[in-house]
Amino acid sequence: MATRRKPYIREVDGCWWLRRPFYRFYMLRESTSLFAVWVSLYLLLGLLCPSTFLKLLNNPIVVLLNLVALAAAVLHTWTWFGLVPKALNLPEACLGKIVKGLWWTTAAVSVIFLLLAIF
Amino acid sequence: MADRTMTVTVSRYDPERDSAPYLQPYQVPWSEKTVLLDTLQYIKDNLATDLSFRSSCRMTICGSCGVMVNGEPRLACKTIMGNYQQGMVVEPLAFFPVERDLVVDLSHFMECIEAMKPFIIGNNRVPSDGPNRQTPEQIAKYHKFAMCINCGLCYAACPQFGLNPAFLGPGATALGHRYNLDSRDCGSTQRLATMNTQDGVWACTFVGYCSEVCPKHVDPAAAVQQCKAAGALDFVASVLHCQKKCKEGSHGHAS
Repeated sequence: MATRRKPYIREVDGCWWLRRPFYRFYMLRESTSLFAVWVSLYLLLGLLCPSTFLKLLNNPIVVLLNLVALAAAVLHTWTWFGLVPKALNLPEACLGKIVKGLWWTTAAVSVIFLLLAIF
Repeated sequence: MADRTMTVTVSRYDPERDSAPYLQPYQVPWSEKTVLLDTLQYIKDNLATDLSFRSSCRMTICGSCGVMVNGEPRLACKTIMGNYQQGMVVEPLAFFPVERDLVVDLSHFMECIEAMKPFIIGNNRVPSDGPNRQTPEQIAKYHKFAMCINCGLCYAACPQFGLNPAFLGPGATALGHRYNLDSRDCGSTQRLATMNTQDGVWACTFVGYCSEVCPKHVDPAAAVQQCKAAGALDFVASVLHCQKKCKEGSHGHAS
């Protein structure tokens, strides 16, 4: 007997990520990489053409972009450290200490680089 | 069921009659104790006798009654109607082909589970050896991943599965990982060969919604990330092993 099955396939459109808050936050998390690209290109400009790099540093648009890039980096760090425990199959107590250690290391490295930049 | 009523909109699809699913509203009674599975059964008994949906245990054990509730994958037996007084839309599990009404085709999911070889491999113990004891620490390694009830909610939450239907997916990976972590098992090499492919764990971009919707708190996203780490280590070990073999081979030729 011929089958009467006719499975209906629902196509996934490009707007799938707009439909749930969880997906929207995931896309926000992933889009922080765009600002990492911006910072990388800007630092490259600093290596290739230092005078233009310094001149653009006071440009309001560049200042704004750099501030957004900083916020994006902080958001990415926060989500990344939050996801670290998932990749490690360790007891809860150990995972808490590891994440705390990561935050302290990040803070220490940031302060050292800030001091190096100021002095 | 009690005297209060609410509107429940259910996705309907008859493959012999309809070209695409459509939404049909139903007015249903509810009380504080009513769950969605009771409501679906009420609709089938009183309003639409041809409504198709899957269910069995009614107590979050069998994993049969997975549906989308207002776009969120949920078990119908665990969804309390009182939390949706403003109304709800019930649809079949996302990303799976729809067979009829709320019934989806889970063949791919079942094939992925089969591919994971979810059983103890390579353990040569015989019954006369006695029980194969494990320490609490050894059990704790895999216990969380052993709670999976194969409901498929994690697949309906995974946009990567929607975009790439060949993806091994979170549920099957968690099940395979459960056996890889079992101290009695020696089959991780076989499972990693399936996991460590383009449509295996590497198709996952760590959205993480699978772990959010899991009714048994299995955390399949964690299983996939741990399998990525294991796969990467396995790759490095195989490269080093190959280099060592090549060196031994060249020394052998020289002598």
